[in-house]
Amino acid sequence: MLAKDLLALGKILAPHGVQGFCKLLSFTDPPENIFTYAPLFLADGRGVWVEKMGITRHKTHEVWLARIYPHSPAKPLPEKLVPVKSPPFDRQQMDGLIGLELFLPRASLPPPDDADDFYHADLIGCLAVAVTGEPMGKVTALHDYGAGTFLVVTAADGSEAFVPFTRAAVPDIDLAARRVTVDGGDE
Amino acid sequence: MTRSVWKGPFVDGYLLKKSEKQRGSGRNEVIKIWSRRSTILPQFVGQTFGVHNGQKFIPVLVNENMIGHKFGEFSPTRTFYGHAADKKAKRK
Repeated sequence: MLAKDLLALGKILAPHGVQGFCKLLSFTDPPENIFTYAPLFLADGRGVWVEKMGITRHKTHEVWLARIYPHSPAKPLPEKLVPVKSPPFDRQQMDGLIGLELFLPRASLPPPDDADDFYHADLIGCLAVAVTGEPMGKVTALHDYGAGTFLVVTAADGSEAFVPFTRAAVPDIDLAARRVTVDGGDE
Repeated sequence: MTRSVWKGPFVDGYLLKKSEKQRGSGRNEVIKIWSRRSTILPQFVGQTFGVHNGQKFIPVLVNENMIGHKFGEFSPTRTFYGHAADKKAKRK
């Protein structure tokens, strides 16, 4: 699996207590969504399950208190697959996981709700072209400060243009070709 | 201490002129403004303003819920580049 097919969903920050708990920072929206995806993967390819134990603080952030289980293959039953949970990582094993990120294959995300819903991960990296066909740069980020989402299009020379994520300003999105058509854009 | 009601909301004059001019033209282009202190008025709903944050013009698409707030509230001066993870965006 290529690195670009993996999404970082969270990071193991620090151990907590002596029973193998850890502080987990979630990058998902909303943050508790990280517990709905399984299995997650470490950078070395090991699969893990994450179980929510509570909420705590890490420096200035509010983070999840979690337990991490090594991934075991699913047990086949007539109706469905039931994951078999191995014993969780203990305190000593948890020391080796500190600072590691948890990844999810992009293909594991559910499909968007409708045709105008897009995952940020799908749009980031797309080539932005003007309606005339002239390349403008690449989509490097999406932001929403409470007044609508906008795309950040970064040109080859490093200059950035902000494009409102509306049908008027982004009339065409071709995810298969990794290309978005932009009408306007504010540098 | 809050602003006296009899004064009405504060809006820079040039911003009103730009807004009216754009509405008259019928085109929906981004209106570049530097006035972060101006109040968002009902006549701005539906228009897109590029509000300067000291470095760039951040697109602000005005809707009804933003009336009474200041433009600067929607154009932060510090940027946090977070993780995309499973975040979704809706095209409007």
